[in-house]
Amino acid sequence: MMKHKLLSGLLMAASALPAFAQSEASAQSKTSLPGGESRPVTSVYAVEMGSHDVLATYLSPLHYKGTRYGVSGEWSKAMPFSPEHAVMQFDGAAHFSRMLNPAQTASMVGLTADFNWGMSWRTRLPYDIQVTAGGAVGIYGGAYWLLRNGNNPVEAIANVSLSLRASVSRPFRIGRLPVLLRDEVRLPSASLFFSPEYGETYYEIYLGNHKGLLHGGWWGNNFRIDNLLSATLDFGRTAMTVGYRFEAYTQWACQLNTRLTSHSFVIGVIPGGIGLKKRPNRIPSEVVYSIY
Amino acid sequence: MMKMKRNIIRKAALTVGVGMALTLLPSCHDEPDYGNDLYGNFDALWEIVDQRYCFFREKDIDWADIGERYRALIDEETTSIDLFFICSAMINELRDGHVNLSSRYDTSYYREWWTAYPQDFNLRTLQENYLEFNWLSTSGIMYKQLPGEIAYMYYPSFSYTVGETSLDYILAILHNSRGLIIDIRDNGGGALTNISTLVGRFIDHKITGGYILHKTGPGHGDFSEPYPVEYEPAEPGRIKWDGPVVLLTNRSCFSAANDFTSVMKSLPNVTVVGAKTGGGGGLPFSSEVPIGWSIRFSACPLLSPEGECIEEGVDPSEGHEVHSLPEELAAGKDAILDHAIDLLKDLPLPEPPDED
Repeated sequence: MMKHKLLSGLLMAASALPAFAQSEASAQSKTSLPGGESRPVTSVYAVEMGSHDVLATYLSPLHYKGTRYGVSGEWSKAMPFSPEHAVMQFDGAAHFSRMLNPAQTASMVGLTADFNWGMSWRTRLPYDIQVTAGGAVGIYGGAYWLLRNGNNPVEAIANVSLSLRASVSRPFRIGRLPVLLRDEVRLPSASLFFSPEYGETYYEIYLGNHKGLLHGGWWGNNFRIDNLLSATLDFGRTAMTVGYRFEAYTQWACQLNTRLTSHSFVIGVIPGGIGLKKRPNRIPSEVVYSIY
Repeated sequence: MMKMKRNIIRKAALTVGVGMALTLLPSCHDEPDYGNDLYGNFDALWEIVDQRYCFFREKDIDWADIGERYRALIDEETTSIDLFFICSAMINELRDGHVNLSSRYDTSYYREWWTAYPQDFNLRTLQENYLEFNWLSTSGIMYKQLPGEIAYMYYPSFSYTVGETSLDYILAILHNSRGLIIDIRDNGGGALTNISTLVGRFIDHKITGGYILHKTGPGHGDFSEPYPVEYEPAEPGRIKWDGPVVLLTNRSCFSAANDFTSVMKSLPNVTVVGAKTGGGGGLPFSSEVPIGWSIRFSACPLLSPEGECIEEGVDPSEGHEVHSLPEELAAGKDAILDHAIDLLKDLPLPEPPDED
C-alpha cells in the first residue's frame, strides 16, 4: 500500500512538471483538480548583494575579497498527491563577483550559476511553526579568473550534488500585516566535482589527459551550505521578502584548497503573495500554498 | 499536552541550532597565513617555489640551503624594495628564464640563459643581405624564395598566431623550391598551440611529439606519469610540405620555440642547424605573495619525443652546429643561413604535380 502510494506520488510529480514549467511564464498560476483544491506556483524573484571571500590555491595562496551580486528565482508548488505536506521546488541563481587581493595589486572575477530541484515534506507544529525536510539534486558551476595568471588563469567549478534541505518558519503580524519568518538551509551532502591535479594545466587537459579530474564529494572534502534567513511581508496580491543569505563552499582535492564564502542581503518579490493575507473572494481551504 | 509542545519546540530549536552550527563549521584544511611583513613575504615566496617549481632535481638545486642563505640577508634595515631584490636574487638561483618576480617597479629576469652565449643572429643582416629588404609577410612570418630556388621563412615569435590559410599561401608561393628553411632564431616563445599548426604541415600521420607532466603534490619528486603530446597532420585540403626542411636555431630560442625545435628535430626530413636552443622546457604557472608581487615559475616539464628533459635546450642535428660570428654578421654574412643554403642548393626541385 505504502509502495503504491509512493509510486503514484512520483508519477503525479512527474505529470505535474509540464504545468510547473509552464507556470513560470506567468506570475502565478493555479492547477485545479476536479473537485479539489488549487495549488498555485509560488514564484520568488530576488536580487542580492554582499561580500565575497575567495581562497583558491590553484590560483593563489591569498584570500581575495570583494563584492558579489546575484539574481535568483525560486518556484515551488504543493504536490497533488499530498498538497498539505508535499512540496516540489526548483530554484536557480547566478552570481557575479569581483575581488581584489590583500595588496590590491590583482583582481579576480567570478561567475557562477546554481540550479536545484527537490521535494520536501512539511508539517505543522504547535504555535503555527512549520518545518520542512527534504532533498534536492543540483548542479553548481562557474569559474573564477585571476586575470594576471598565465597558464593557471582560472579555477573552474563544476559540481553535481544531492542535498539535504530543511526549513522552519512561523508567521506573525506587524500591525495588520502578516509576515512569515523563515530559515531555510540546504546542505549538499554527496557530490561529484571537478578539480585538476595539483599542478596540472588546462593545456594538458585540453590535450586529452582527463585522468583524475572527477572526484566524489562528501562533507569532508566538499562541504557546502546555503542558509537563507528571511522575512516575507504578505500584502495579499504580492509579497516582499527581505533576508540574509550565508553561503559557504569548500573543496579539497589533489591538495588544492578552494573556499568561497559570502554574506548577502536579499530582497525579492513574490507575485500573488504567499497566502497569509486572506482575500475576501477566496475560500481559504480551496487554496494550498507551497511556502506556508 | 504542554509537555509534548515543549518537546516539539525543543526539537525545532535543536534543528535550528544544528543548522547554525553547520554554518559555522570551519574548513578542515587550513592554509598557512603569511603575514605581510619582510619574513612573511619571503617565506611565502620560498614555499610557493619549494612546493610548485618542477626542476629542482634536474638542476640539482638545494632550495633549503638557498632559502637559508637569502633569508639571512634580511635585517631590521631591509626595506620592501631591498626585499624584492633579495628575493629576485634568490629565484635567479633557479637558472630559469621562466622564473620572474614582478612588482610595480620591476620584473626580475634571469638572463644568463642567453647572455652567456653568442647571439648567432642579426635581423638587419638577414633583411639586408639575404632578403634584400624585399619579402612577403603574413601571420608575423616573413618569407621569400631565395636565389637558387630555396624557400625561406622567418618566424620571430610564437606569440603571433599562425593562420591556417596564411600557411597555405606561404607554402603555395614557396612550393617550387628545393627545400624550405624555417628560421626561428631569437624566437622567445609564445603559444604552444602554434606548434601544432606548423608541425601539421610537415607530417602525414599522427606523431607523438613529446610528453608533458605535472606536479601531483608539493614534494620535489611528486610528478604525474608523462602524457603524450600528439600532433595531427593538417586537415585534408591544406597545403603540406613533404620536401627537405632545415630549421635554424640559436640560444635565444626559448620556451615554445625550444619545444618546436624538439618536435621538428624528430621528423625524418628535418635538419636542425645553428646553436643549441635556450631551453625553457617547463610550462610556467603564476602565484603571488602577500605584498602583491606576482611570481611566475616553471611548473610542468615538457619532454622530447625520446622522453628527455628539454629544460636546458635542444642541440642541433649532429654535425650541424654552426655559429654566426659577430664580425661576419657585421660584414653581411650569416654562417648559419649559409650552411642551410649549402644543404639545400644541390637538391632537385620537386616534380610538378600530375595533370590528372
